[in-house]
Amino acid sequence: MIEVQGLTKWFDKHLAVDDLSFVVEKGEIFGLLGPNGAGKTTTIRMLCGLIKPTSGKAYVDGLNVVHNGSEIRGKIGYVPEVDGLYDALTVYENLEFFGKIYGVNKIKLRRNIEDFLKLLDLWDERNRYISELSKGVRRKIAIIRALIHEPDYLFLDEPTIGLDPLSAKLVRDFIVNLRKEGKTIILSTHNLDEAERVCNKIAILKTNLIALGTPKSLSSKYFSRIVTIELTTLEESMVNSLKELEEEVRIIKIEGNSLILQVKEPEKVNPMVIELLVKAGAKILYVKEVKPTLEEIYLKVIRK
Amino acid sequence: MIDLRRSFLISKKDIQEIYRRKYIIISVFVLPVAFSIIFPILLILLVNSNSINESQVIRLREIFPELVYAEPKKIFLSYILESLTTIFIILPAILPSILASYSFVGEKTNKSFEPLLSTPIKELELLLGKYLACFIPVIIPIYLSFILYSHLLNGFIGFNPLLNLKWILALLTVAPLYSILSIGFNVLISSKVSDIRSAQQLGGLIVLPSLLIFFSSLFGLTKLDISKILILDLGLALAALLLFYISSKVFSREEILVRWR
Repeated sequence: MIEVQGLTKWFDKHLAVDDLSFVVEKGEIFGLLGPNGAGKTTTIRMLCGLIKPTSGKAYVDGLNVVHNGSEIRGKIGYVPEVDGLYDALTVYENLEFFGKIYGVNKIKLRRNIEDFLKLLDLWDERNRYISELSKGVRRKIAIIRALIHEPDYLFLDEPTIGLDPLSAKLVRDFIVNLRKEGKTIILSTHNLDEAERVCNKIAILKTNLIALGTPKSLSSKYFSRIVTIELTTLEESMVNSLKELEEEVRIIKIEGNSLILQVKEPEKVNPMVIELLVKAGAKILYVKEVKPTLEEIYLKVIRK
Repeated sequence: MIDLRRSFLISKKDIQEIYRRKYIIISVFVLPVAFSIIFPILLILLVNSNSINESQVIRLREIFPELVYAEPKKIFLSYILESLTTIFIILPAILPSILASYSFVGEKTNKSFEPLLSTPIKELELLLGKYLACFIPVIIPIYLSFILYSHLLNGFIGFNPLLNLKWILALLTVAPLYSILSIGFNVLISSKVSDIRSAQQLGGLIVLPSLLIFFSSLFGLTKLDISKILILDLGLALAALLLFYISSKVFSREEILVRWR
């Protein structure tokens, strides 16, 4: 588990992170979203014990980030925004070097390197120099490097930045699989689609924490829920029949034979809406909920 | 507790990385070879007996009583070549700045410090590893070239003027201490600059004191003796310790990630 309480970081006179508090449960993929300079990387660096907070506390696996930095770094894997691989070394040499620094024993290290490279379809590239590889392959190697010692916690700073869609998907699928293995993942990203697909909890930062929750809870917090009902034909009497529910339902728009409604609690109110429409003679083709995208939530929260 | 195993891993990785760059190998090996073989051979071939006057020969015979019956050219060259031995004090200052610039600034510009610092390695282990990576590949070619140089002198003048306590002490103490001092100086430079060339140019300033020793020895203004070497050792050791202490301060995780630009 990761616990953050009032985490604050000043760089001289610049406030980078302000009074951040959140909890990441074991096995979660926690997304850190925010514009450039929002404090995402600084937060990750503090949690990895790389830089010290000015005030506040943070614990990774019960260990204090200020006093137990070295132990924390043994339990985590970190993929920074820039991969920072050694160009003059081969793929295998890069991974072997980091494995040894982490103190992984020889046999396990050899097995892990082989397993991870094969898993990401990179085994044939093992003897190539990093300088010869594409950005996508380098990114994958950087992720393997962070996993070589089988950490319980993984910090990923923009893991798919600069990747082509296919490589990005491969990396995303890989991250989701890691969660299935019980790893706790903190993912900083600009890519809202990625966060929506991968994360089960999201924090939106803009120096301080401005929103926190699951994508679903953020959606219901910042957007009222929209329901579209498509009928075979739409008559005025049907529209008027909904006046009975005027406290719970607001008609946003009528598009052809479709009613677009803002519904307070669709699970409770939708059956009543359908009943009233049917009573008014409507034949219903479809009822569907229109969910706001994470991008819409993000833009709304950030502009506040 | 410092885990030296990690320091050795860092130095091994750095040496592996540095030595895959051909021009670094050339820089580190060409200078010692040039000074220990090519330069003395050129001197031997080019010095003309006619340019040496009688009074100089008499003075030099006092310095090298072994050569009292030798011809003037041989006596003159013996003096010059013996004086040139101070080059083995300059090389330990020059060569680490080439390696340190790659080791520190290279890692900084490549942004490879961050993943490395996110491992359990301690800053001091990393710094020690970097020191070793700049020290070992420098000191070995210097010692080898010194052996070559002294053999060359032996072959030319019939005895080895370098096989004495003074030069052995200089080589075993001044050379490594000056190397360590140069590495420390270059760590500080590397924390302030962001390109390898600037790091090498500024790091090269550490050579200036050794040039002073070299030229004053060459022009006969002062002659290194054991007591001067010991004083030099003390000064170098204190300066190297001070620079190691300061460089360990700028070599903290936060400093490197936030302030090293």
